[in-house]
Amino acid sequence: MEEKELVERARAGDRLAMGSLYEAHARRVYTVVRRLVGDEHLAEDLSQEAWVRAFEKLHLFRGEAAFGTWIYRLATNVALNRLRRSSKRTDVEAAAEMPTVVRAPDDAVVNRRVLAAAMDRLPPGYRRVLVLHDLEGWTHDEIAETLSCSPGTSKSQLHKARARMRQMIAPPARAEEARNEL
Amino acid sequence: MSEHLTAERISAVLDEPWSDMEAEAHLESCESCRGEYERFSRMRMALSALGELEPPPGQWEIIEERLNVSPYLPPTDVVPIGQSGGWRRLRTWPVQAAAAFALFAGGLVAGVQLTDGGFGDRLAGDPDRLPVAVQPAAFQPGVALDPEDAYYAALTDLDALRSPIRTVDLEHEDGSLNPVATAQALARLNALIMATQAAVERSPGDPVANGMLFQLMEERAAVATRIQESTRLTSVRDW
Repeated sequence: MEEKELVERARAGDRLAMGSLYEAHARRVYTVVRRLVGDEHLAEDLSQEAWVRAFEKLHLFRGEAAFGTWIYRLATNVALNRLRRSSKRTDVEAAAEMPTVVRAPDDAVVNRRVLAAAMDRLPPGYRRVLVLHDLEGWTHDEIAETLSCSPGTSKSQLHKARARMRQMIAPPARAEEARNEL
Repeated sequence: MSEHLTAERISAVLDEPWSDMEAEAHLESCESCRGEYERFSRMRMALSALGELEPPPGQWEIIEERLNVSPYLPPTDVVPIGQSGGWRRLRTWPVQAAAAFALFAGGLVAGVQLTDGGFGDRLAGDPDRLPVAVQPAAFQPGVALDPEDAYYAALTDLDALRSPIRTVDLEHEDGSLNPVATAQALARLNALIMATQAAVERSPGDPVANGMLFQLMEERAAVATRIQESTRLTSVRDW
């Protein structure tokens, strides 16, 4: 069944169509939310919230973009709004703390699990720009528009985030050097 | 340049090598920085290659459950008819629910007209300006109306009836409670609750009407709590 038809059926309350849409896009939605918020339980709640909101607001989806794009943006906004609300500490304060080193076992191989763990430990402001740019492929202009900041700020946050990532995953000797550089 | 490049500068060169020729030249001559540049490059590639994650098992069931109590979505029991290659909806609820919502809508008209005291000039006393589903023609005997259409129209218009309660500011600018606005909100909530109760009595198994009733009662409880909090802080004369 075409996605357009699934959307029409879902809009009319067809639960099977909703389930099909969920099946098709659940991984992408969960992934972006999980990466952005850096917490598994929070990601479960927020991705769930995004889906419920999507089906409740499906009448607002005008089909100008693909449904996948729409739910992806909606979920991203849900996660970013949550980050905005819950950031009690400033990124400067958080960044000033020395992060836990989640060292890769072999410098030549950047282990996925290590990368993911390091991302979770980033200050939220750094993490969201790193995720949107390096993982999700957004441009700095797009990030700046969404986060209401300048492209220059987005770039600066990204480079700080990468530096912090390197600091966390570098082997001890290089990590020491990296700390001195920051 | 003799000093090593900072990590942030290496990251910037990675994205825009043309923007910092001095750093580029340094990378040509400094093995340590070049090594670090390569590590940054590998890290960036590894980040972009991170795969998608599996959502937690059972998430759809939870979402579906939440949708069942949503006032915006009626439940559907859809069964495939494999031989015909199509889908047929086996639903018994719309007819009952539409009848219930006709009564529900009738209750709303009465409730709104009796109790509206300020939010809704557009709703009270002018049938032409009432939402379609609560206009008498929508549920007059003999008027052919698709049950499902009536159901959706009633749900949509219910939201229009509730929206003034949600949007009205119950507080003054100084944070104290506005007694007039609060009393009006309570009156409107009471009217909506009475109308919804009528719908539930007519169709006790309708999850949408039940969900709606539950939500309205929660909203009323929230307003009542706000009043209680306020009366602790202000004198009786303010009320």
